[in-house]
This record gives sequence, structure tokens and C-alpha cells, in this order.
Amino acid sequence: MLNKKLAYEYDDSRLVDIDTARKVVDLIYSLSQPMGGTSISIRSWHATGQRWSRNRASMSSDQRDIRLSISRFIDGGSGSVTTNQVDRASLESAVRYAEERAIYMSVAARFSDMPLGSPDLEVRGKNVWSDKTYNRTNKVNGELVSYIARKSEAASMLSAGYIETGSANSYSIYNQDGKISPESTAMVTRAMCSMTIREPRGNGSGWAGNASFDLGELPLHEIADKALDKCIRSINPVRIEPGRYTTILEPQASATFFNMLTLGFARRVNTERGPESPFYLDYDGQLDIHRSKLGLRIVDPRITIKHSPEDPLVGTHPTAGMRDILYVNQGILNEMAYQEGYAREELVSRYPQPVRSSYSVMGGTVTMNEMIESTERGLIVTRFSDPSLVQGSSMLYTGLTRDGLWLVENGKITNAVRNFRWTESPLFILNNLESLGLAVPIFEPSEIRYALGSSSTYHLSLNNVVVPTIKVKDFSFTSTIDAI
Amino acid sequence: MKISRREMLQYSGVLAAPYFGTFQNINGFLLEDVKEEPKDIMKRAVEVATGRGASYADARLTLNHGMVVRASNPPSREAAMCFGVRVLVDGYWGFASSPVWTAVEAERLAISALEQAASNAGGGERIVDMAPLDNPESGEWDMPVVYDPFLIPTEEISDYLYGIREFCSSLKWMKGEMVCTFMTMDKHFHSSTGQYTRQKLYATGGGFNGSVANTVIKRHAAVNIGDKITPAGLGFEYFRNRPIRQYIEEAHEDALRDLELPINPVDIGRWNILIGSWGMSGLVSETLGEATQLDRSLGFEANSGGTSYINEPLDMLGTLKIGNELLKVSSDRSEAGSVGKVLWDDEGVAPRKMSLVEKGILKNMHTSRELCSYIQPYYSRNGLKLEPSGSVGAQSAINVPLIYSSDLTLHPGEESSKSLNDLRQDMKSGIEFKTAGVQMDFQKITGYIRGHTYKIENGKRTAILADTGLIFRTQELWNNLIALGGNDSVSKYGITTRKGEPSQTFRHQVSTPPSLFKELSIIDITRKA
Repeated sequence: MLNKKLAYEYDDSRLVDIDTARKVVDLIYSLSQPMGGTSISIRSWHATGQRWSRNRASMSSDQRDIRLSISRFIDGGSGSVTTNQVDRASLESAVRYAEERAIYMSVAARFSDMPLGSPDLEVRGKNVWSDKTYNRTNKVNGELVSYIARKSEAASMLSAGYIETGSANSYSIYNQDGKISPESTAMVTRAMCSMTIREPRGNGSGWAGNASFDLGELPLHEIADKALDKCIRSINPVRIEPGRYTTILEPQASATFFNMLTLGFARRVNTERGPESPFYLDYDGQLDIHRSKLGLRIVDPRITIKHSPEDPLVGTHPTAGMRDILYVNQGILNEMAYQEGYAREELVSRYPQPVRSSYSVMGGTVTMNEMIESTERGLIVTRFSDPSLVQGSSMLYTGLTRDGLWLVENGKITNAVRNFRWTESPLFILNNLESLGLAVPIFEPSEIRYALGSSSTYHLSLNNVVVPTIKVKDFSFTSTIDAI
Repeated sequence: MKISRREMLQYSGVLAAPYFGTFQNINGFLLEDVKEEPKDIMKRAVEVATGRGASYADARLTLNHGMVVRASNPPSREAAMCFGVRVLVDGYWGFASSPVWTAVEAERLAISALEQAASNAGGGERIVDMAPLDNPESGEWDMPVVYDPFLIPTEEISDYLYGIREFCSSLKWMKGEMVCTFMTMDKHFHSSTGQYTRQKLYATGGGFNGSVANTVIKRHAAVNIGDKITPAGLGFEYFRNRPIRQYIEEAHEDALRDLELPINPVDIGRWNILIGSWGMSGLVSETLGEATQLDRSLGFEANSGGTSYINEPLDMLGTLKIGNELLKVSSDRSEAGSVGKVLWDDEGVAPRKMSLVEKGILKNMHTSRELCSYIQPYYSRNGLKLEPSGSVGAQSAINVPLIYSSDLTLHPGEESSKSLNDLRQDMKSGIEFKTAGVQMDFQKITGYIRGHTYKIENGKRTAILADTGLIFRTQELWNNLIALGGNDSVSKYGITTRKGEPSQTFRHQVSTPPSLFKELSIIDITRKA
């Protein structure tokens, strides 16, 4: 039996607190040679995960790590290291390494700029911290898994899924005095749940999931019920011909296409270089410049895509320099992201405008039922799998439907349908929009990233996306696939 | 081996001083040094776990280093120490991990892992029958490298890359740049079987971005040596001791020839298809490697990467016809220089050589100690000893171990000297994929390939084909295999794959000859319905 008391004694704080961060920063500065500049980033994360399959938990985990990055900038050269150790010996060798690299790069005339800090900018953002998420234990998650397992077993189905609650924080120091200012500190929590329920012989599959910083916002039992319902309704799908169909994309599916579009907003400079960019317009010979489509309509006027730091649904932790970004305003390309070099050279500004992976799309009022009832013949898509770019200039992608595809005939769902490969562009479907539903948050997974197979960082920047169900005309399904 | 940061400072020499250490407690950090043996730390975790009710426990310590070096940008360097403890209690697994290497942390992780396992007590019966290990072997092994990339001055590597860039600029119409990526992992393992292992592994690879541009005819062509620098279990000798400049020259000549070929639209329909070795490696990894992972097959990955066409493994082993008699695939992890080589996997299992597919018939699968028992009746039926495949791993001890693919070999044709050129010359009419990016569905049943393609007429490349894709069903593909390159044409590639929730990255080696297929479906990838 477990000794609970002993376990409790060991239960330290899961994240690096500000006092510890200050000690680390002070030590790094004391170890640095008195020249050049230093930037430091300290991130820590903790995640509790419950994975299950075949109606039983297959792994319950508790993971935590830290990621400390030190960059030294000396005479135009720079050197960087990342580690998860913060003792004196480790930090000293890290600082020495960064300095030696910076000096070498300087002597070798291979220059790089120190990123500019933004201490003088307004701090914007919303608290994305939830004590309920932070305090969630796998004991409670285990009960949820039991509920799902009982429901799935009662229906003679097999469930698999993952529920994770996590927290992360960061301290970023770009200034010369090494002070940790409130605007360079971020704390976030993250809860997500995703599950697939399958017919045991593989004749049907249903998926549901969602994510939020606040566990209280996740209707976990509803997600389970929805996945089971989709599984049961997807059994024994019929094969229909590929072709162009009026298609209702549930939010998880529509987000795939909105993500493609917002990814295209990532580098404004690319749109002004040549026709490879989907947002390139033409070359003006008189002014000798390439024009982008900024200011022109690119999609249906009902589409507005924005990032707002204070929007609780796409929550951005309080950060200096954050501002409202209106990417697409009533179909018109209004704004794109740019990097520091572009800001300095083209916009006479110090500050870059990074792309925000959290965004919201203004929704409509049409319900799912109304969309179905108004469809003579069409398809309903739960989600897409593995989208990959085929042609950049037209934003043409290909991918697969997955875990729930239904045929609608004369205003009613008539059959589950075999999955398709599709070939389609967000620019096409968002110019062939029939109707928009209510915008809702969707599932975006977190990921423990290992840039070089060594250090790890939990997703600190939340990829929260709020999108509507959309109904589009002539979605291109190019071939059937056998996978269910 | 003592873990002393002071001693480890010597690891990387003067210029590349490392930064080993342990942050002991994130609120009470700054311990001066660590005096504890990894073995003792892990032993403590296992003792605490088994002493408190775990029927099985294992502990892993990993020390990972990573470095990316470019010609002009400053190199980025990473290091991480990770500690993971896994326990089995009443059929349920618990896992806890952190970056702290101490016996005190070992106790905390063991207890946390036990609590994780106990969180599923209300979940109903779950039976785990771990495959036994006969005399689990303890030992230590360092992957042999000639030039440890973390011991030589980084300047030497960046200057080497600077030289490559200059060399590229000296070639007609060409610009090119290479990047080197180095990783190493010291991996310690101890389990309640009493086994202790330590291994030091390397993964060295690179990237190359090159092209030739003819400004007169306004055309450019890629210069690609990506196939020559996929991840390998070697040190800097992977670059320094190989004729990289010659590879670039050959690729440059290929690109110049490409500029002379017309670019034609593809004729959709059924064509005989020639796929180069590199393209074949991706196909084998996706259609036969991932599909034969038993956890995937049983639905453990259903919510992430998906399942497998081998959906009834017990019935399908020994009977499922995946391809024709030419198809023979084996797995192994013992080849020197392979990025997948280990002496023990992350469960302490010594990998075994297996025949995955023989004469087109499924013969074996990648397993763990837990899941091996699912297919025990197959082993019994065939008089085979129940043995896990030795395919379990994780990208660091922070992560949960999962089953992944061993190193795979698609066995070549009988005529050992048969080359890609010979196979091409045998084609009267067809399409050649010089490169092939493979995208499979979530059951590995149907797939899609796109890449750099040529029209082949009377044994010669006569045009570049634009926007060409190949769609296939896995079993159709392997049943339409009509010829394989010979032993001399086999090349080895380090393949990177992803799996799990949260997602992890794995690397394994795939050895493949170029291969010829009959009558597969070619599409125009830009054509919509």
C-alpha cells in the first residue's frame, strides 16, 4: 500500500518560482564576463497525463522539466545554450560556452543581432491560469476513464484516448540589469481531452475532444458521450463516389483550413517577394516593388479572423507588446506577421509582429441542424487527418477524413460514409461559403517538444482556436480510402 | 561511474565546455555537485517501488546532448538530464519523471509513479503478463565513434561547413548550404529483474539546401544530397570521412541534366513505377515498420497515429499475404553505424533479429514485454520461444517508453550487381520517383507518394513530370513488386518517425534497394475532383 503521508512530503512545487528564477538570473550575471549583452529564458512545466486504450488505462504519468536558455551577445557575435540544470557548475559552463561561441562568431565576422526587449510596451493579456486545472490529479482522471470504459463496454465498443492537465511558466530577461519584470513572466495552465471510440472489428470510429486553460470549461462526460455516439453512428459506412460535395465541416474540421490560412499570414515579407506566396499580387514596374494582397478581399466577406489578447477563449497570458490583430476583416486581408528585420527596414519600427497561433473566427448563427436540413446532398466531416501542402501559391492541400463522415440527403443524415482523400484550398472553400455556425473552442494538442532530442518545453503559448462549423459548396474529395 | 559535473567539464574539451549538473530541487536549487552513482539512484527508485507493492519497476536516467552547427549562424547547443520511473501495480502502469538525478528524487518519483498506477484502481481488471527474460544481461556499451562531435572544437565543424558553402558557390549556377545535427544520449537502465545497463548512443545527420538556377531560361533545379546525410549512429566522421563534396558534385550534375529536360504534365493512369532506394526506405518504414508495431495493431495508438491493417494480429500472423514472393523484410538492431543500434532496449531486452515478412507473408511483429503475450498462441503454434522484439524506446527518460520500429531491411534481388540504372534500362515506358515523400492513412492501408519524378522511355529519363503523385493500397503495392535492385544497390537511411501522446520522435535505419513495380495509379496531385 502507498504511504500517502510520505508522498505528500515529497510533493514540492512543480514550477520554478520567481525567487528561484531571480537566483538563477543573478548567478548567470555574476558568472558572465562584463561585456556584451545577455538574454535568459527560464521555462518550467508539469503535466499529468492519463492514456487509455481497449477500455483500460494504459499509462498514468506525471512529468516535469525545466528549460533554461542563455544567449550571450558580444561584439556582434552570439552564442546560445539550453539546459535543464541550474546548479552553479552547470551554469558556469553554460555561460562560458555561450561566451566562447559569441567571441568566435564575432571574430569570424558571422554576426547576429540581440533580440530587442520590449519593456516599454503596454502589457496586454488575460489570466490563463486555472487552479482547478493545476490541482487536477490523475485519481480524478482515472474515474473519468472508468466512466468511458463502462459506457464503451456496455455498447460493446473499444475506447482509446488521452487526458492531460498541465501547467507551465516562463521568465524572460533581455535587459542589461537582469531584472525580472512582471511583463516578462508568464504562467499558464492547460487541460485537454481527446478520445476515439471504435467498433472492435474496425467497422466504425468516432472521435471527440476539446482543450482549454480551464478544466472547468471542458465537458469531459459530454466529450465521451459524443465520441461514443459518433462511433455507433459511423458503423458499416457505405462507399460513395468521390467528387465535389456540399460539405458541413464541424469546428474541428474547419479549424484545419483556418489554420492553413493563418499559417500563410506568418511572414509578410514572403508576400512581397514573388508569386510563390498565395498573398502575392503583382509587380509594379514603375515603383519597382512587388505588391501583396493586403487591403484586398481574399475570402468571403462573412469571414473575420482576429487575435485579441483579452479574449478569454483564445487566452494569451499577460505579455508586453501584445495587441489586437485583425488578420482578416470581413474577407479583406488586413494584417500579416513580420519579423524584426522587416519591421526595422520596411516599417521603421523596433518591434516585430509575431504570428499568433491563438485566434478566433467570427461565427454566424446557423445551427448544425439548419445546415443539415438545408442540404439536398452533402457530407458532414468530423475531422481531418494529416493535411499536407501540395502547392504553396494556391494554398492547395491534401489530406484525409477521419473518425466520422456522414452523407446528408434531402435534409437528413442517411448513411455513414467511407473516408476520402481530399485535395482542397482554404482560399477556395472560404470563397464558397454557404453558412456559418456558432464559433466554439476546439481541440489543439500540446506537445513536449525536443528541438534537438534533448531539452523539453511544454507548450507555453497556448494554441487556442475558436472557429465555427461551416458549410461550403463543392468541396473536392478526390479518392476513397479503405481506412476506418 | 560517478556523476560529477566537475569531472564532466572535461567532456567537451576547452572550447566546448559542457554544462552538466543537476537541479536538485527547483525551490532549493544550487547543489554544488552530485556524488551519487546512477546505478544507486535507479536502484533506490526500484526498491521503493517494489517495496510498496509494484510487481515490476524500472528506472531510466538519460543525459542528452544536442547541437546544430551551421556555416554562418552561431551553433545552438542543448543538454538535459532526465530521470523516469515506471511501475506496474495490479495490471496498471504508472510513470513519473523529472530532471533531478538523486536518490531522494528517486523516492519521490517511485512514490509518484505508484500513485499514478493506483489512480486506475477503479478501472476494472487489467491483466499484464510480462514476457520473461532469461538471465537478463547487465552491461555497458558505448557506440563506437571516431570523432565525438562534442569533443572536437565546434569551430572545426562550422569551418568545415563554411568550406562546403564555398565549394557549392564554385559550381556552375549553384548555391548550397549544409547543416550538421549531432545528438548523443547516455542511457542508464535498471529494473526489478536486477538488470543494469548503460549505453552511450549517437545520432548524427544533416540537412542540405542547394539549387542551380539558369537565369537565361529562368529555370532552377534542386541539388539534393539529403539521402547521403540521414541520421546515422556515427560521430563527425560521418561528414569528415565521407566524400560529401563528391556527392554534391554528382547531385549538381544531376541538377544540370534536369535543366536540360522538358517539364511535362503527368499523364494520369496506370504506369510501371521505379522508385529509388531513398523513396523505398520511407515506404518500408511506413507500410511495414509502423504497421507491424503490435501496440498500434491492438488499438493502443487509435486516438493518435491510428491503427494498422494488421487488425487481428493473432489470426494474421503467418497467414496475411502483404505482398508477393519477392517481398522479404527483416528487422535487426545490431548493425554498426545504424542510428537504431542498441544492445538493450528501454525494457532491458536485447533486440533480436526477426523476419517480419517472408515471401510476402507476415511472420512477426514489433512487441514489448507486456504486449508480447497477446501473440503467445502464435509462438506456441509454431514452436517458437516467446520473446519480445527489443523495440521499446523513448526519446529521453522524461518520456514514457513505447514500441517503435527496429532497423529494417528490404532484402535485395538475387542479381547482386543490378543497379538503379539497370532497372531503369529494363523499363520500356514508365515513371521514376527519384525522391518519394510518403503519406499513409491512419491504418496504413492506403498511401500517397509525391516527389521528384521523371518520365522513362526506352530506359532513359526523357522529361521531368510536374505535380506527379502515386496512390496505392499497401497490399496492391507489394503484390505489384516486379524487381528489386541487387545487394550492391542497397543503401541505408536513418528515418525519423513520430508516435504517442504526447508525441515523441524516434529514429531507425531502413536499408532498401531501388525497386520496380507494375501498373500503379499515377495522379496529378493538383487536380481536384
